[in-house]
Amino acid sequence: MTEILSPAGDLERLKWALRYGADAVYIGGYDYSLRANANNFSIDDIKEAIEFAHELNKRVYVTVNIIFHNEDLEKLDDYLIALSESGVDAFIVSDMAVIERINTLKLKPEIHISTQESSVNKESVKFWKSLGATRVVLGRECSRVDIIDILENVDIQLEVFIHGAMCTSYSGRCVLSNYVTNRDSNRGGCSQVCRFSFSMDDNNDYQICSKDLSMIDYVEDLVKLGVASLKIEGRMRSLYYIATVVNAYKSIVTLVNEGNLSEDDILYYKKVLSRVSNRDNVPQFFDKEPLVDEQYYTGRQEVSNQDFLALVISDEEDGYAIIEQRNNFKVGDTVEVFGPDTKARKFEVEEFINDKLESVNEAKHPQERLKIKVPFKVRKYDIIRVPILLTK
Amino acid sequence: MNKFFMIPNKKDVSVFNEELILPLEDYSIGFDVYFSVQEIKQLSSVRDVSVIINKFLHKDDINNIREIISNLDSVKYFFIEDLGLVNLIDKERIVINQNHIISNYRSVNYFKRSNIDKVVLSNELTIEELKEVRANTSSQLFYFLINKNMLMYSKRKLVNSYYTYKNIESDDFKKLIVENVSKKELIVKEEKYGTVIFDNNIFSGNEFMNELTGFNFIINFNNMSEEEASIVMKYYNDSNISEYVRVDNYFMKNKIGYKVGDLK
Repeated sequence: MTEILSPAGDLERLKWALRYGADAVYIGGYDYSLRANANNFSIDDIKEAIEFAHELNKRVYVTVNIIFHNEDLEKLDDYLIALSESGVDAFIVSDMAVIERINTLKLKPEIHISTQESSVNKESVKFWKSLGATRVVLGRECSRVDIIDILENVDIQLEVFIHGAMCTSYSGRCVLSNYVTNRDSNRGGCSQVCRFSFSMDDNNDYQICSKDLSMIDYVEDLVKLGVASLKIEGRMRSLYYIATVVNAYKSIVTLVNEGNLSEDDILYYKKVLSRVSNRDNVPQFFDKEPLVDEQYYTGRQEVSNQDFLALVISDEEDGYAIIEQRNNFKVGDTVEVFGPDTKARKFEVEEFINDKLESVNEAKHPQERLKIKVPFKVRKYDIIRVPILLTK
Repeated sequence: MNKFFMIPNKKDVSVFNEELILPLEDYSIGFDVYFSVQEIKQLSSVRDVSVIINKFLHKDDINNIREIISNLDSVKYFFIEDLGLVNLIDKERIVINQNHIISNYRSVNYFKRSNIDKVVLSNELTIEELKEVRANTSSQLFYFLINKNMLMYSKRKLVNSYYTYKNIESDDFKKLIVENVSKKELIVKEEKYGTVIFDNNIFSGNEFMNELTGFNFIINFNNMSEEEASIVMKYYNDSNISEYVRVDNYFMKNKIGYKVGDLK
C-alpha cells in the first residue's frame, strides 16, 4: 500500500494529519531541521506524537536535514539518541555527518535521504543504500523515466513529492537567502528569495518563482510504478490545509487500489485542492520540462482562503452538533461536511444555538462554540467548509 | 598546497602552467567555456588536467557518462557534484564538490572512510570553521579561493521563460539582475541544461591565505568581466587583492544566522 506522508508543524496538526488519512508524518525538532522558524517539536512532543501515531499503526519521521557546521555537531549524538529512544521510525537526513553518527551509534530508526541531496539517478540512490539508507526522497526534478530507471535498478523505497511548494533550484543548491538576506537556507533559514522581484535591463519585474506542485493527475501512475511514499510539502501549513490535502490524496490512492478511480473523482479532488491552495499548482517535471506557464512573473499570486467554516467538536443525540467557528457563515448558507469517516456531504444551515441557549442567525465570532442542526450524522473532528461545486 | 585554475576561454590553456580544472561539455553548468572529451584527452596526455562534472545527472546522463569516463583515463581528478559518480570513478581520482554542502569535519571524515579523501569545502564557512575542519581531518581539502560563487542551480529555463512571457526578442541569456529591495547584484545565466545564478561580487579568501595552510586553492576566472579577470590574473597570489579589485569575504568573518531570532 502506497504511503501518504504528511507534514506537521506541531502536535495538533500531526494529529489532524493522521486522523485525516496520513499513513506517516514528518516533523522537525527544535534543532537541525530545515524549517527553523516553524513551531516544531520538543522531545516530549515527539514522544507524544509517536505514541499517538503508533496507536494508529502509523509512523513518524523526524527531519535532521540541515547542513551541519562544526558547532552543530556538539549536541548531535544526544539528540539522535533521544529521538531513537523516543521510538522515531526514521531520520530524514542529508549531511554525511548525521549518517555517520546514526551508523556508528547503531541507532534503530531507518535512514531516509532528504530531497536536499537532489538524488535523481540510480547510481546516487545505490550510493545512499550502501550507507544504510532504506529510503531516498527523490529530487523534485525527477521525471517519470528517471523514477522508472531507479525502481528497475535499485531495491529500495522511493519517496516522491506530490503536492506543495517547489524550490526553483535543485534542493540544497540555493544559497540566495544567505547572500541577499543573510539567512542560511541550508540550516533552516531560507527567506524564499526566489519569490522576490529583480530588475533586469529596464524591467523591474524579473522573477524566478515557481508555481506549486500538484501530481494529482499522476498519482495512479506513481502507485502502479511502485513508489513507496507520496509526500506532501508544507510543515508551516494550517490544520485545514493539511486535513484537506491529506484527505484528498488518501482518497485517490484508496480509489486506485480499489480499481475505482474515475475522471470525475480526479476532477472533484482537483477542485478540492484548488480551493485550499493559495497558489497555482502544476505537475512540474514528471512528464515534461516546466516552461513559461509553470512560473510566476508578476509578484506573489496568493489569495487568502476562508473556506474553513468550523470544526465539529462533538455530535449530539438530538440531530445537533457542537462546532467551533473558524470563518463567518449564517443561517440559509449551504455548507459541506467532510471528515476522516464522513464522506463529503452538503446541508443548509437551519439554526445556530449559542452558549446562552439563544437561537442566532450567524456564526461570526472566532472560535465561538455553537450548536448547529445537522440533518445527518457527523463526527468529532469533521470539518465544515464552503461547498466544493463541481463545474465541468 | 596546490593551485588549480578554471579558465574562461580556450586560449588561456597555454597561459597557465599550473593545474587546470576543465568543465566537461554537456555534463557541467555555469562556465564560460566547456571542453569536449577529445580536447580533454589530448590535454591530459601532455599535462596535469582535472575535470569538473557539476551537473545533476538524470537517466540518460548517468547511463552515458560511464563510457565517457573510461575514455578519460589520463585525467587526474574528477570534481563531482552528483554522488552517483562515486560508483563510476576510481575513488582516488574523486574530489567531492557538492556546491555549498560540505561544511564540517565529520562529513569529510566519513567520505574518507569510504576511501574518498578529497573534498571541496563550502566557502560560506568562517575562517575559524575552516581551520577547525583542517585540524580534524587528514583528507585533502580544496577551497574556491577566488570565485564568482554560484548561488543557485536550477533545471528550469529561467531567462527564456521570462523573455517568452514578456515577448522580448533576445539571444542574451546572461544578464545582470538586481534584487529590488536589497539592491544586491547577481548574474543570471541560462544554458542548455538549466539556469544558474552567481554573486556579481568576486569572492576572495586571499586576506586569510596565510591561515589556510594545507588547503588546495581553486581560482576560477569564469563569469568575471575581462577587466576583473585581468586584475585577478595579476594579483591572485596577493593577500591584498582587495586593493585592486572589488572582492567580498563576508562569510569568512561572520557567522550566518538561520533563525529569525538570530538576526540582530
